[in-house]
Amino acid sequence: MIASLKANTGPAFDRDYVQGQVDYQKGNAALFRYEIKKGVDPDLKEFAERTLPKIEDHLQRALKLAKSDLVSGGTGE
Amino acid sequence: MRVSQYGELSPYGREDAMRTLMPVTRRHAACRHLIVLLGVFSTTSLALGQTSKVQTLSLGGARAVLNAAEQKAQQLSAPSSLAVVDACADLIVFEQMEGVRPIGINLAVGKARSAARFREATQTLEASINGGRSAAITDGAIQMDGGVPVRIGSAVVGAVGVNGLNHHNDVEIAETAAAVVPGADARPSSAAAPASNVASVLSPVDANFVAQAFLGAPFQIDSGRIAEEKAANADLRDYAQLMVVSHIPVVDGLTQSCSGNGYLRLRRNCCKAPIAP
Repeated sequence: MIASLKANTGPAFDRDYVQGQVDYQKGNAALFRYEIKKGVDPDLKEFAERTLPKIEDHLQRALKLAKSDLVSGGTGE
Repeated sequence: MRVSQYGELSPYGREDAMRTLMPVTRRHAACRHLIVLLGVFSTTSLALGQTSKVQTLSLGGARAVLNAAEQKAQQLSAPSSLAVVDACADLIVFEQMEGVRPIGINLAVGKARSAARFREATQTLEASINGGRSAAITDGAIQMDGGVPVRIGSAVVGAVGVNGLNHHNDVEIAETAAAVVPGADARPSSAAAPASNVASVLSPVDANFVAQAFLGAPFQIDSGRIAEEKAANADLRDYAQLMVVSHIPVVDGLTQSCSGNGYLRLRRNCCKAPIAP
């Protein structure tokens, strides 16, 4: 992932980075939601509950960027 | 009759799945023969030192689990494929309810087998993969929600796999079914075990969470720094900067010296640091 980011330039870089971010934030949100639902340790659950809104905020930002023309459309392929 | 020595389920459709019922049943019998053999040789110290007991679901136990699963599936109006395997991960009983998708046959058996062999609910496995543990898929085992081990104490005596239209239902049905065996505890064994040290306090779900939750932070910093420089879109550069500044405290938190016992305690204490993955 880091290697392809280093290799890409221009719109291809933006798409690569944004798509990676959407996947990352989705996976992270799922992990934290699972801990909230199925975790046992109260400290960890509390941490997950406290942190999930931040991850969801980051996910929404990434999704918005992925939908924006500047990133997803741009010069076309 | 085709007999597969290892009792592998064919991945090709209903007929093959049904045909493999016989070989896996034989394998199940072989698993129990091990226990019988143990009885024969247990008078010698040699056998005692070189064999071990395997407690496994009987046919009656497996049917009880299957019936509980079917009952729960009907209650939820969730027609499902239902599979119950023994402690050796071999199929004992299987049921395809009316209205299921054919692929569910393979998935239900696969989920049950994975739960028995990993000694963990497949929900934990799927969460691990979704959390970024991509290497876990190289095993080739089905690691989707809906497989739950049947435990008696700390021993996994079998597992149930459920596949319907909704994976949340799959989990609920499987958990209900796994708990039906007398003495069974569908919860992970470490969660029920007395707390003798920090590591055992964490349930498998918690331990997985701790292991996964911080893996992405260094990547977010590295990739964010690259994007801050290279992104063509100004909004994207701002986002990248946000990722860098919000993940630096995560990494700092992990490297700071936390008091406590061992690696997990370190991670746990760091959870309390003001961080934002």
